[in-house]
Amino acid sequence: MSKPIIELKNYSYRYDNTDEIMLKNLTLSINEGEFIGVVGCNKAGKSTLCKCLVGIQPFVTGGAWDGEIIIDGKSMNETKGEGVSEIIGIVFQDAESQFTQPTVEDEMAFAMCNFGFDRETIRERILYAAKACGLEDLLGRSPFRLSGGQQQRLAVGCILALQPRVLILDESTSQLDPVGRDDIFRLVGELNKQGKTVIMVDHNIEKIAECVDKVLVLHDGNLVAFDDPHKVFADKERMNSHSVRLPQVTDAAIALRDQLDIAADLPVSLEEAVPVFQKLGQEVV
Amino acid sequence: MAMNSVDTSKGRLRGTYIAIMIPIGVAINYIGGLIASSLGLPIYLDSIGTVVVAAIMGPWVGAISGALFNVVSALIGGNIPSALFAICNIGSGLIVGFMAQKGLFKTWWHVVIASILVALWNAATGAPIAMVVYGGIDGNVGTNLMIATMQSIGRDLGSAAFIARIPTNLLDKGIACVIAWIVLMKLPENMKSLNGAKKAA
Amino acid sequence: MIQERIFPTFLKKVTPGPKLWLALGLILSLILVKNTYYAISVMILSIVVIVLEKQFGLFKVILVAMTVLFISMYALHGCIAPNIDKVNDPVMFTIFGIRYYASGFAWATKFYLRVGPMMPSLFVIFLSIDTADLSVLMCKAGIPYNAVFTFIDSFQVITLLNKDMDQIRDAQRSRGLQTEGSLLTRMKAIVPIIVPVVASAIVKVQDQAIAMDTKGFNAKCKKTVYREFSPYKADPYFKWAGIALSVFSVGYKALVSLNVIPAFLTNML
Repeated sequence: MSKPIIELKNYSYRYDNTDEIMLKNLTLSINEGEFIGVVGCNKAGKSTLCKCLVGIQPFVTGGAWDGEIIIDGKSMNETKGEGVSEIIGIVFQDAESQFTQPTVEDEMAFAMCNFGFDRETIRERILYAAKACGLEDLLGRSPFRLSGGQQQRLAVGCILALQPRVLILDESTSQLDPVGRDDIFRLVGELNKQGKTVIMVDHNIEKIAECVDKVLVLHDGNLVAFDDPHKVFADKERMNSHSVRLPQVTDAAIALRDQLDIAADLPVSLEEAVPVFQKLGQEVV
Repeated sequence: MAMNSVDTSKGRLRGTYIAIMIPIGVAINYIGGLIASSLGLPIYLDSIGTVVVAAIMGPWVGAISGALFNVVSALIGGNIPSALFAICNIGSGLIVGFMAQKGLFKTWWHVVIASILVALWNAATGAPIAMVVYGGIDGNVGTNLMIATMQSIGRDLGSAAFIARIPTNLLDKGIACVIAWIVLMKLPENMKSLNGAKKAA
Repeated sequence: MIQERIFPTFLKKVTPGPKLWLALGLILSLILVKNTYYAISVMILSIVVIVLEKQFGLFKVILVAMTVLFISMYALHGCIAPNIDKVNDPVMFTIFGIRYYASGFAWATKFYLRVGPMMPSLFVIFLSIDTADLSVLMCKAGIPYNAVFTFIDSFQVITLLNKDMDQIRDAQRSRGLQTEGSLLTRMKAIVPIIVPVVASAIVKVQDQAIAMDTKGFNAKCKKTVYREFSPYKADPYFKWAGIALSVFSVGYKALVSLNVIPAFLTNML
């Protein structure tokens, strides 16, 4: 049983110059090696949560908070966010706006140069990250000449080169086509299999349900659910009342529950749904 | 509920914002110039970035952005002496920046006053710099024709160069101030004064 | 670096430092030693190098600027230069009643042969310098990292905003924006093009700042310089030519100003 790498204890957060509390009394624990999907409607607090986990809010951009966030056993109330970047890396939605260097290789080296790594280590890590993200043949190209999917992979690669234990992706696939999106999910899935903890904010419920160990549902800053996707998506009414739709196969399975005679969990992915719906097809025939 | 807060007034991100906004100011100035020449307009449109950056980040950052534009422009074009026109852009940045800091870049009247002050500064400093760089003429055909006309009616080159620059600069800097003002009005509140969490004046 | 660097032309193989020395030498010599034959030689040689470096396509914009400057300077200064004595100075020709003076021509030459040769020579030198290599040179010279980043990023952002501007202009045109026609029509096209470009650049700033902070931009430790470039055999020639030109130009001007030597090289016609 792996130990928690991120813990939130009654954590609340409010932006500067507002009265509205964006995150309300969140208590949860994420174990090392888990793949967490974060879902919720707009303004649910998903991006705010991500920025709080890396200490950007409140320690860099301001704001007020209550409770605490503990990263790898150390409370951020004491560390003030120092040292978090060695454990957690974050990739934002708009990849292109994060690039500042003329080539892919320089871009991957940028963060490591800022943290003072030596040249040999930088070289090794670039080779590792480029291979992991499928960018080995693109090292000499300008980041602005890459496709959307390649840019997002580069954004992941830049953070991966720092070898964080936790990777947070904040809506990284929202600007990508389906092929690019699947690429990113495949990439983070492989990184998770290698032991990295992944926290992914995404609106694509189907991909989230298919890939993650647990789903974290936020609504209006409140924690609505944090559990296995089968348990979370089993309660359709609760999800819909918090503006979260179910995976299509789960929705269909719920509608046909009487005909399907489902003994165990409802399917949440296509792979799980095929044998369940096949039975229905045989009965109809 | 009483919540904890940190003192971010030292603005850890301020250095980062400066490092990002200065190049944006340079690029906006450069693109403005490209737009003016692609539309075949008799104005420069190369101060919009300076004014925008000065209004958001303050006078000194705006001034540096303006000066850097002239340096970069001189390097790209190879016309090194033209970097001296940085003095004009520095003044533009300082004027608008100080006005914005005092809350004087919010209404139409503020924009009009800023345009007049910036235009006068540019005309007054542009004329002697053009004398040093180009011997008195300007890079702008319209201004040159006005200089020639004034000289033909008896004005000396110095005063002709100053007076000829006023209408062009009023139009050019007026447009720059108006565009910067429109952009600022459209920005979300937290973007209007990017001080890296530093409390706004 | 991992990626092998390919330098397709001779000038690109020379490292940035020696090229900057040569640029300095050219600037000082063109400003301080006002010699027509030297200036014209620099102009012609620069254009030859531009053709050999296969940069004539990009140079056309500079060539247009040089031509417009030439026409403006000579056309106007010939008639209205401040050194013209309308009574005594010889007239080269008269056109539509406007007199063109020899002293005005000399005044125009004095200024044009300072700026004119600088444009192609510095254009080809700076175009051959990789901005990332330039940033390495600046860091090694002791310039603070933030200042170097700001300077180099300017070139990057210009390219990005240029691309945005093209897209926005095309989008606005497809919505009916007129960009040709009368002066008023063209003036009206300014705001619909430039406001979206500026607004989109500013709106991304906050996210970019946060992303850079998470990548250690504000880290207090000493930053590593990753890029390296190997010296090229022509580097010393460029460097010493630049230094020699600079020292000679400054020394010559100083001695002429102090009346130690007569201005034997200066002859702007």
